[in-house]
Amino acid sequence: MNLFNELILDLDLAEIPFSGRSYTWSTMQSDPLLVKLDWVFTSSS
Amino acid sequence: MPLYPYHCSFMDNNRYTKVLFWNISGINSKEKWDAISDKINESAYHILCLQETKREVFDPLYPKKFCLRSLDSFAFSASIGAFGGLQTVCNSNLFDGIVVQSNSYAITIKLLCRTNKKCIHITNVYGPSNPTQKMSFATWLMNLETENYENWVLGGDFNLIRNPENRNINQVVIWER
Repeated sequence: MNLFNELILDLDLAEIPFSGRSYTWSTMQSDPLLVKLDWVFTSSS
Repeated sequence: MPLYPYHCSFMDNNRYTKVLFWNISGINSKEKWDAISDKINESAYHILCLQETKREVFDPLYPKKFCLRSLDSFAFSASIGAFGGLQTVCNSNLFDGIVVQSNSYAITIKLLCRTNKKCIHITNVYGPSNPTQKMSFATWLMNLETENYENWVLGGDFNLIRNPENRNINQVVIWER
């Protein structure tokens, strides 16, 4: 499993989805690399 | 370049708390101050968590350049040169806030809501973009003592992806050419 996902599982966190957006970062070129690097989580309890 | 601010709101005793997480990629221009204050005006946020401010020195008057009078309680973590830097701002009429953790990766504030006396913990995160530092960031987060964190919200720019879908395929095509 991806280390980040392991971490989220271990900390018992649930993602608060970022509605309507797939990516949060771009290289801003004509054929850009787009990545989602921003996240918000909350403790599940 | 970061693309969007990350809006998040959660219900807490029949009241919404609205938080804005935003990698501002350098806060030292009027253009950025105006963009932030426009965003706050648009949605009346209660808490603002900024990443990558690229500010080394704390000045208590500085947030007034981009915050409404209602957002008047601040927590700050300095950038290392032009790298990182965090600023968390909240409304002191609504919350009694204290900083419970602060370093170059994150600031955690404990907020006591003045009306319902409930506590929330907000962690504002900026994870390293340098691949060699990602593991120490992950280890730090794994060992963070969160047992006493109530109603914990952890957000910001982690500089990490969860799934292959978090990256578009364009780059792969470029590599194949």
